[in-house]
Amino acid sequence: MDTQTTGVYLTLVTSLAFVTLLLLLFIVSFLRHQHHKMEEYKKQVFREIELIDRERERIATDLHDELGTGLSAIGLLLRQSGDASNDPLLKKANQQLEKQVRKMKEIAHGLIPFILESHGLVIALTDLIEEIKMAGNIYVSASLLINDANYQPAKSVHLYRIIREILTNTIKHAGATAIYISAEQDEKKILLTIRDNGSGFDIRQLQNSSPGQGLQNIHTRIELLGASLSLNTVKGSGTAYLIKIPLLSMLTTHGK
Amino acid sequence: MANSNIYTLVEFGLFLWLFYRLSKQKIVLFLVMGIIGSVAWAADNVVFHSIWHDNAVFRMLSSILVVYLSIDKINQVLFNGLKEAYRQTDLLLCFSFFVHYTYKAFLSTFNVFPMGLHSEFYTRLWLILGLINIATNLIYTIAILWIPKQQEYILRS
Repeated sequence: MDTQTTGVYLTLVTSLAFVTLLLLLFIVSFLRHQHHKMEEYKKQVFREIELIDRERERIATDLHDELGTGLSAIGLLLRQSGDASNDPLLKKANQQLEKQVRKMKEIAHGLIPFILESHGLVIALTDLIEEIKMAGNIYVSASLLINDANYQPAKSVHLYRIIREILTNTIKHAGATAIYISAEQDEKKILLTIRDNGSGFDIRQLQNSSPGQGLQNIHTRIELLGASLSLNTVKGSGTAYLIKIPLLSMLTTHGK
Repeated sequence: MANSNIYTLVEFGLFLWLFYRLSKQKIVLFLVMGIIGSVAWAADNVVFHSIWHDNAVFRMLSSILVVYLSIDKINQVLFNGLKEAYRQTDLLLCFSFFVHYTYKAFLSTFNVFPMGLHSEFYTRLWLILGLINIATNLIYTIAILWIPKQQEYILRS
């Protein structure tokens, strides 16, 4: 091989090496920025969810404490007036008012379960399960073996909303007649299982389509807890949700 | 030659300072790069070669780092959108650095690994560098002219 040919080959090899290096540098930088952007987006979503939760709490507290107390006082006055004058219109107005107060309490409860704040996650879940049992013809079995004493309130809200969303989905879409809920805790994690005997769904179809708002909320809150969700379902054979939550995440204020 | 070798170290330091100001990343990254560069410079000029010779290893390494920083900044600008005019300036600046220093790093490899090629070949390589230099400076000038004018604030009395 003469010197000129060697020179051409060497230049080509060097150029190729440089193109490869540039490509590598580009890929490294691209992946770094993509990851950074993704993290930023997640943080933004997490902040929004926290804000929504806080706003819900504020509205619910205002409804319950301000409006509720005012309406109750009016109700008391109406009852007293109705008893004194025996006016059927006043009695009817009082009944109507009581109905509206009940509705308002339901709305406030839907926004933020006060029982969760005052009595903790286990009691709030028990209350939710009782509510489901009373509302429909559905069998619910629950075993909640968790110690919620030290859970951070914001994290308890996330877990409560995940469970509530799953149960709502099961009742609304799965047509289940029985739901089995189990929550266990060890030194490292909380293991939550929710099974039903409903219609189930095609998991591939779900993966191919964009998830609904409910499922998206579940995923976001699961990420907020640093947890993992495993979904087992076959069309016609029910659905099982398995959620693993690191205990440390429930005990500390920061995110995942 | 010694002057030129010292100049390359100063140039590298200035580039790190510029990219630190441009990218607003943590200073630790640039300090680490600066330390690596300084160690490589010292090794190239004291241990492996004399300061009176061309420090091609350092030139190649510093050029590659400048290329990486340029690529990184270009990606950062593209990921964040090109709406603001100052980002377009950053993009043009980094593109000019990318072109110039990629070729400079490529050229340095022929000094790091002497291949005993014909002197005319090297002359042509340097001629291409001259052309790239013109193009780079033109882009650089456009980038400087592209810098948005500072808004004038009028205080009404």
